Amino acid sequence: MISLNSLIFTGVLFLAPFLLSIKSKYRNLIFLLINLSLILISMSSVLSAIITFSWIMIPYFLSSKLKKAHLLIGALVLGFIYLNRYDWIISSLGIPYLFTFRILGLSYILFRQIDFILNRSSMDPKNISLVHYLNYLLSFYTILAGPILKYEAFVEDLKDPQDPKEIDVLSVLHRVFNGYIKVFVLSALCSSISISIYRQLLVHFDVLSFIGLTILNALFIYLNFSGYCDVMIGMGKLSGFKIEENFNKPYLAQDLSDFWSRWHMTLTQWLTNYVFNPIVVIFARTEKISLEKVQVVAFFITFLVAGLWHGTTLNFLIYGILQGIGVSLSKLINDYRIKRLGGRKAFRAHRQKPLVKAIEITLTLSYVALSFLFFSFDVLTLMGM
Amino acid sequence: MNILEQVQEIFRDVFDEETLVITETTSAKDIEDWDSLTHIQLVTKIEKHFKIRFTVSEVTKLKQVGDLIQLIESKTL
Repeated sequence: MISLNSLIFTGVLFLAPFLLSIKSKYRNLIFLLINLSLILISMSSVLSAIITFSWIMIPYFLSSKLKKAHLLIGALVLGFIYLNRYDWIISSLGIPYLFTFRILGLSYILFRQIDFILNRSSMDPKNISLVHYLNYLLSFYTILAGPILKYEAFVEDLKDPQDPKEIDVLSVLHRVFNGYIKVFVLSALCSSISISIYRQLLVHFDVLSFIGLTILNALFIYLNFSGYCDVMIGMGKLSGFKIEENFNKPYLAQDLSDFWSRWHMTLTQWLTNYVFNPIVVIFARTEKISLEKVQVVAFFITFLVAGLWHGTTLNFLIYGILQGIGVSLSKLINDYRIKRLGGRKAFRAHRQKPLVKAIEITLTLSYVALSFLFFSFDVLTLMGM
Repeated sequence: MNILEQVQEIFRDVFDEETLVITETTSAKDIEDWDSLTHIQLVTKIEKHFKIRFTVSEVTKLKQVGDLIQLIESKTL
């Protein structure tokens, strides 16, 4: 796991608070220099550098000229499918690959670009600059795995960094240290045990080991991702950045849409704003189907997109479909329960009862944990399919 | 009915509360059921009622009833 790149990355992480401790216009430039250097280190060839920088720069200049942003976004999504190698799409269409590299953090870069493009026309012009845009896309705190900030919030935060003297350094370092333990000790342990269980299961399937695998894998994913966010949010804070929280006790969620409002929260927010809401609004305007039905359809499409965004294999398509079905179903069930209990207030009170709460949490977590198996393992092979 | 009163009717309909009273500073914090789902219900019903259209970016930025009313005013004038 430890490579030269990750050593450099960790070094920069701990150097940055010192490099960025000046409160002046040079701060943004130093930040840009660090971000660009790290991107350059990650590149394998001149061609990859040219493609990466075209990918980043062209939308910036085009988005100021285009009246309709949708075309540009459509083109970016198609380019993303190709560059990120969605093999089950590209190969089945018989399109050849022209190069072998991948752009670092492209999934996150794409979502940030879409945020920028869609909001550009309504932004304060003073907030739009190439330096801000590059720092926003390439910020080394968030390039690998989020959180996905909003462009305007990011720029406002850049303009007004927190005074280092006001930061409780000890508690921040405590969080960072815990984050490292979550990633490198606890999640690594869960991961290595679950991999050996998976290998056993391939030879001989038994239900108990399968349950063990499901639990360990769910722990692995949570500890790894939330630990990573703890490190980045904490280290970002030491450099004066406010990076949004990404988790809020997700495994205590009482239904699937509650889960998504607690898990990878910045992604959920992004999907709500740019996938779910537009679908609902467009369908609602046609006035052909009821809003309730529209929401169920929109849920399904949104989580399909979420699944596909997470990875390029068919496993992620299945994961997306499972989440889509789950969230839509939980919405339908809740609507039914609200009616039966005579209103939202009664429904809320009902869900506070300890037994109801415990059952809801267990069911939700089980569903989530089972669907998370598709993240790490070839479940279809395991099922003998 | 002024805009606030008309919007209030829509709020009462969406949140299923006949006695709900809103002011310019009412936000998602004040109404427990105001989540991303009911937010989009509000937006689509307001679009229909006032015969206006919001952009994706506007829907995202609406946080307070005051913002909403300002936006409706700017679009219906």
